[in-house]
Amino acid sequence: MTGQDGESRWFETRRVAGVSVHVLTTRKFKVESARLVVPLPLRVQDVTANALVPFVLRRGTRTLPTLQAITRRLEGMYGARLSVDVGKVGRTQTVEVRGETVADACLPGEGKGSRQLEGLLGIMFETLLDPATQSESFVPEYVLQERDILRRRIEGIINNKRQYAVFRLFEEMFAGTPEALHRLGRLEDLPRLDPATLYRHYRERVLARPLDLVVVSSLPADTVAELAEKVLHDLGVPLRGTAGVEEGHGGSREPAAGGAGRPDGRGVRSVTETEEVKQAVLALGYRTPVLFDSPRYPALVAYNGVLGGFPHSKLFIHVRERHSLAYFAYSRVDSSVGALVVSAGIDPRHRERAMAIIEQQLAAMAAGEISDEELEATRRALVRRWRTSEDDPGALTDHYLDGLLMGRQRPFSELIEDVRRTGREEIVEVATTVTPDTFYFLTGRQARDQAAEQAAMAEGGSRHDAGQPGSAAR
Amino acid sequence: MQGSPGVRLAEQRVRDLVGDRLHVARFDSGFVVLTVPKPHFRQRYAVFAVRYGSIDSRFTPPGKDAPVDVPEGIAHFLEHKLFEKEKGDVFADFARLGASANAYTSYTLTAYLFSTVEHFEESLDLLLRFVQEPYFSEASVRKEQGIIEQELRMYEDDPTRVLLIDLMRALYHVHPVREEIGGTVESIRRIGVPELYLCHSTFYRPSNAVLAVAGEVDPDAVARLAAERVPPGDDGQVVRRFDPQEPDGVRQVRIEAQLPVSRPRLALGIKDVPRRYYGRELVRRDLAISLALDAVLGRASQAFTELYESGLIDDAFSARYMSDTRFAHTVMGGETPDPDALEARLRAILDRAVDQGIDRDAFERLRRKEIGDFVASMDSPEMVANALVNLHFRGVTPQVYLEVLQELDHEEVTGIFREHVHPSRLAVSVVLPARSGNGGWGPGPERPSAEDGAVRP
Repeated sequence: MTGQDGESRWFETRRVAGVSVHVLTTRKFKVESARLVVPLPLRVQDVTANALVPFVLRRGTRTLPTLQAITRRLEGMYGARLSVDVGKVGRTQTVEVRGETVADACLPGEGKGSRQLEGLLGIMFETLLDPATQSESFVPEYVLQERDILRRRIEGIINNKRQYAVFRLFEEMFAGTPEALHRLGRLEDLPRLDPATLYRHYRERVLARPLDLVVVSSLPADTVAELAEKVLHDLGVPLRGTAGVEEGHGGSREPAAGGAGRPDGRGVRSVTETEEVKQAVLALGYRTPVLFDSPRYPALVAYNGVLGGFPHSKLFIHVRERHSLAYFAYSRVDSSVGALVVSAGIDPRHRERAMAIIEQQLAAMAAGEISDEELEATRRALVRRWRTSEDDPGALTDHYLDGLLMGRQRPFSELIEDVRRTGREEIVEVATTVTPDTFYFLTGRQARDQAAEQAAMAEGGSRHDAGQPGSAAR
Repeated sequence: MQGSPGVRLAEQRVRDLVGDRLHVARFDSGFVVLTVPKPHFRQRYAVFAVRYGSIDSRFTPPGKDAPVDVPEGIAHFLEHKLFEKEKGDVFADFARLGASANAYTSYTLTAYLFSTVEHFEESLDLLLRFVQEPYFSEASVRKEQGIIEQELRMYEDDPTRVLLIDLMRALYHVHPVREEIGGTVESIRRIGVPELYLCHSTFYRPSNAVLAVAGEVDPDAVARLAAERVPPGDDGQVVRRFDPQEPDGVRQVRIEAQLPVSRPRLALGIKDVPRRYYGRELVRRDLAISLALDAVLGRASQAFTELYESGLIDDAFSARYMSDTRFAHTVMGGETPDPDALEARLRAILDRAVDQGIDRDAFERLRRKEIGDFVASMDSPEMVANALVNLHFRGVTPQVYLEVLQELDHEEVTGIFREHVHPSRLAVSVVLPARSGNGGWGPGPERPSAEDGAVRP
């Protein structure tokens, strides 16, 4: 943060009435943004109920009992925005209510003040804590309709082939652990989530958890905390969760397995599936023990940046630019579970070539074949990404929340210093922890016979051998 | 303003823009520079755009008599290829400066942009230079064909995109808005070096271009650099663009596709009247129809509530009007279990709205919301700069947009909406599931993490 007069460098925490209020004060924005978060343990028995709750809450509150009533109120506030979502970070599932409103000072004919933010917090807290009910139950129609829509959402994961490939990869890679669960839950749980059961779940599980309110505002932390307190008092709903960031959210944060190959000790697993697609998608999963709170995290981010995080990265340059095999080719880390994913969309016939080129890039990383230019471009790109995130309330909130859920705050300015100090040696050191785990391939029908053959080979547990010589030597 | 020889500044103005300031510099050549300083922001964002998009497939180059036809997708192909120079890839030059470059091609414009927190002036200099220095070779054209082929294949697997492209093919008989912006695998194979040079020299000229910048920048420095890098002009010759004579009605009332999706999707389109609008009138019509659609089908409407509660739509349903100086249409729809039922309901809702007019209270509420949305968008340098470009090519400034928003009244909105919604100009596009896969639903990385993949348009 710029640290100008009256601005905070990072989020400051206040506690009021069972809520931890985290505020970043900055006069940069015309919009006040807020997010209410309930962190819950990611568990197979709760995952679907947790996912359904926020969408039912969004349908109506005690004083605004329909979606229409809520929407009209928001539109009247110069288009304030309210949305709900469910998230997943490591072994934590989050129920979220998000809000945005234009600050008073930026509206025609309004003075300085906090009326907009107070109005927004009022609707947000009411949505989460005081929903529309019917005799100790959620409104039955709301539950049935939202349950149907959630079913469609889960079924619709396949509609985006790029995301679907990564979803399937994670499901295979983390089979049998909470990390394998989708944030939206499971189809088979939906039928038993009737209005009364879901309401009980909401009262006993969701409301009993500590609550976090994350705000990016022009107002000081104390003022925001007072507003939250006032809103909660006016609402008159007792909070049962005890606020406590220090208690640490979300259970165990041990990665399912760290850097020692597959937890079951087998070689790389290969999974091939077919759909009527024009383009095949590779999603290759690797494990690393380096998580968000690890001292080596900045080196992992730099590793990913050199490998496939940017258009100057090895994967993009080799898979796309030099060999014209793909339009997209990237790598990404999920530091809440210790995974690195490499993905590319290719012609099904080019599977072997693409695999060979990708594996060469990973080998180059491990061998320290990283030029000064690659390193410098990556450092600059990361600095740019983080500085730019400081200009975006949503990105600031996401990042703060990641820190909250993963047990270590890493303000962007700190990350920037860290990555500027990260050299080739640290990156190579991280590279040695990256081990192949599961390779997923989504391909078209026409490639099926070839795929079946390869799947049979992979079932033998042999290391995927891409024997295509003569590509992409540096 | 000292620039390259012959570059003269015609006008410099500063206007208020909801608490920020818009600096406008117009050159004799017709080139315009629009800058909005955003103090306290770290990001600096610049976009250079030319009024040249996928629908410019037939034109007469300046100084020529006969019109030429070029392969579909060439504007997008040119956008890809302009990054490549004899000495290498401009992306790498931006990366060295710490800037992230990108580009996009739409029906009507091509835009080149970068975002940075350091070395802003060098990056801007690079941007202004590279878009004016084409270097095309047969080998690099062939290389790009493979990449763009994969890009097009990716779109063919994207149900939303298929739904929309099909809808355009149903609404329009001959207008080039029917064609995929990227062309087809077949049409891009017909693109060669001479065609690329021809399109570049025709459209990439100061009178057809604009530069918009937002972020922590000095507007005078931006204008000065533009004066140095943008040539004095192009002898006043203009390119003639040809749009085929598009009939009033739709080409077909229904079009269907099958894809491996979980459930059907429907898009209902309304082609606008054949009249063409520009400037204030274009914005007026755009806002009127957009607000009317929001009043009739937005989340606070009775119609949305009924459709949602009946399970025919979900929260991703949308209804939007898209207008340009050369075509305009409404698209509404989303995923649905029953496309036929949703189509029937939407037609009935539109009939009722035309009959009863737009609700006054809803209109006033939505006008407020529109003002709030406009203010909120000012928090993003990227959105600010891109909006400036879009408004510029429509012949207006943000002030005009806000003025029109204040002037509109609900009778006028009702009148314009009634004219827009005409049964002879309606068509639907449907995507039906053709799944025979292996089921199985997996998890994935959830909240978008900072480590997102590098995909460039």
